Amino acid sequence: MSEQRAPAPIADEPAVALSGVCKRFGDREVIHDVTLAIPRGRITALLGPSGSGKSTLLGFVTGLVRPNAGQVRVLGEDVFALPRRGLLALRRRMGMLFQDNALFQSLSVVDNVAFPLLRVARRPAPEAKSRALALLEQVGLGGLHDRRPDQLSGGQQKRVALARALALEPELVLFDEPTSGLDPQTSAAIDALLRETQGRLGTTFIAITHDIVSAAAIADHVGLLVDGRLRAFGTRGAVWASTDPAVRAFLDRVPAGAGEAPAAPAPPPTGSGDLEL
Amino acid sequence: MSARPAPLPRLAAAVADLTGAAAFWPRAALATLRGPPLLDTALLTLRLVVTSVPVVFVVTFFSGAMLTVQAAASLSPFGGGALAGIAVGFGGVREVFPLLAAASVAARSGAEIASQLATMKATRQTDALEVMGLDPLRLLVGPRMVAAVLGTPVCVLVGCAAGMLGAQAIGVWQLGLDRGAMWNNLWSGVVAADLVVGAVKGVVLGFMLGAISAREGLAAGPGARGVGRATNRAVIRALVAVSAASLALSSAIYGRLA
Ligand SMILES: Nc1ncnc2c1ncn2[C@@H]1O[C@H](COP(=O)(O)OP(=O)(O)OP(=O)(O)O)[C@@H](O)[C@H]1O
Ligand SMILES: [Mg+2]
Repeated sequence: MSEQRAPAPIADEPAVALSGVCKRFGDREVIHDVTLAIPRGRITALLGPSGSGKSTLLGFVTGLVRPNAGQVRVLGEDVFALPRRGLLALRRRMGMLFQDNALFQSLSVVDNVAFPLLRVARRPAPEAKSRALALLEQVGLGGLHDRRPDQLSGGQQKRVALARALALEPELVLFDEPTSGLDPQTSAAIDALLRETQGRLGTTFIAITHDIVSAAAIADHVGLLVDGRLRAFGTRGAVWASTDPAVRAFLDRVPAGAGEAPAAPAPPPTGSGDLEL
Repeated sequence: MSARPAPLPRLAAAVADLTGAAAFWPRAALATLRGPPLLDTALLTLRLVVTSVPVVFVVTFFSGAMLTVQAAASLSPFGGGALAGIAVGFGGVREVFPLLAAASVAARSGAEIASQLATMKATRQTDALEVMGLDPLRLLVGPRMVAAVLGTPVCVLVGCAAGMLGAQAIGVWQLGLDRGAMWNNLWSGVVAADLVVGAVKGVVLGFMLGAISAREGLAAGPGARGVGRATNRAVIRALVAVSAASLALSSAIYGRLA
């Protein structure tokens, strides 16, 4: 791949391109004028402390959160200019892992993975099931397919969510905090699974995380979001070598190689936090 | 929330909330018309009927009995038991039993609809559907609307029957009325059209309680607390709406017979 900047052919168009995107909730601006281009076929990690606006940024990509200003292009489409039907079609080309997995609690593990195959791709049931079983095998969960999601550990639930996200062979997979709430060993195993899966499929992965260790383990490209501003974006090496004080302040907080503590719950948005009795 | 917002913003929020609720109804109706998944719809309809009927039966049976005791006591100077049967027959079948049946469905199945949808919202299962390119309204709300619209009239008719049985039971066992005469009196005021009206009421009230429960579920706030609040709110709003609509329907249908 060349580094040229000139008008890129469609295939080189970024997987996700944000330009001048802003978002306010009430009168609080949580995303300030973010512009970035996420390359295809790589793993990009968007890092940032809790509350810096990472999930909101991912919401732009899925079309679940509408920005107040700016343009969001995903897989060549302008997300918020699409009619509803077009948006649904675009979403079928992406997969997503939610922060707390969002598995369908009423369905077994295998039915969770088969769900998009049955309901979106409208595959016949036996085919959907055998494909779901194969996907579960790939994420290391053979044998557990008849369980309910709440009978699995956090790491196992992540694997189910990954299998479900991959079921429709998406061009783009989004991960909201893939390792939050997991112990360091399980985090490392999930990171390895992401790397292995991405290497095998060549799909574009975008992971948002506050886990620096995890970002270092998986990412080709890294963006750093602080207080809703993009402070750095580039290859992992370039960002890791940055001398920008804001970047250093975030990166240097965690000693290299140490696992970060599980995500602390975000403080309540209003009120003093006392119990309402 | 410890610091309560000032009255004016709270009023504005309440208005916005009610507008949102009203705007949901046509969307729920459309989702229902756009072909909800058949198997889910059939199972949910069956579930609504099977789980609500016992509640409906008990509530209307006791109410029929209660109405009969009161009617017999207060009408005793004018002929007592015979009149009680007639009054409970049409008053119950036309008004009380359908309303109580719909209220019971709201409490049993409306609460279930709201809590299921609220849980799915809080755990982001609805967002997961959206990101798959699926429409939660068609997939989740449609089948539940159909279940409510088809299941509630069934429950209303069951409620009418159970109310009559309750009246008959107490009339015969406690008030010592003649078995055959009591049953004839109960039915003497009721015409077939009343049962049709009851079924129509069931459809309308079913739509309302389904739409209200689904909307409150999908509008739930985050976490377990959001689920609890949404469920609570769904039941209260459905009860208020169902009572008001029941009165409106009655005065529209029977009001001009007066
Ligand atoms: N729907 C909303 N309404 C109001 N404020 C919101 C909403 N969603 C997010 N926010 C606020 O926007 C800010 C950014 O939130 P966001 O969830 O994007 O952060 P994050 O970086 O993903 O945090 P975390 O690491 O804790 O998940 C937070 O301060 C949050 O309180
Ligand atoms: Mg987040």
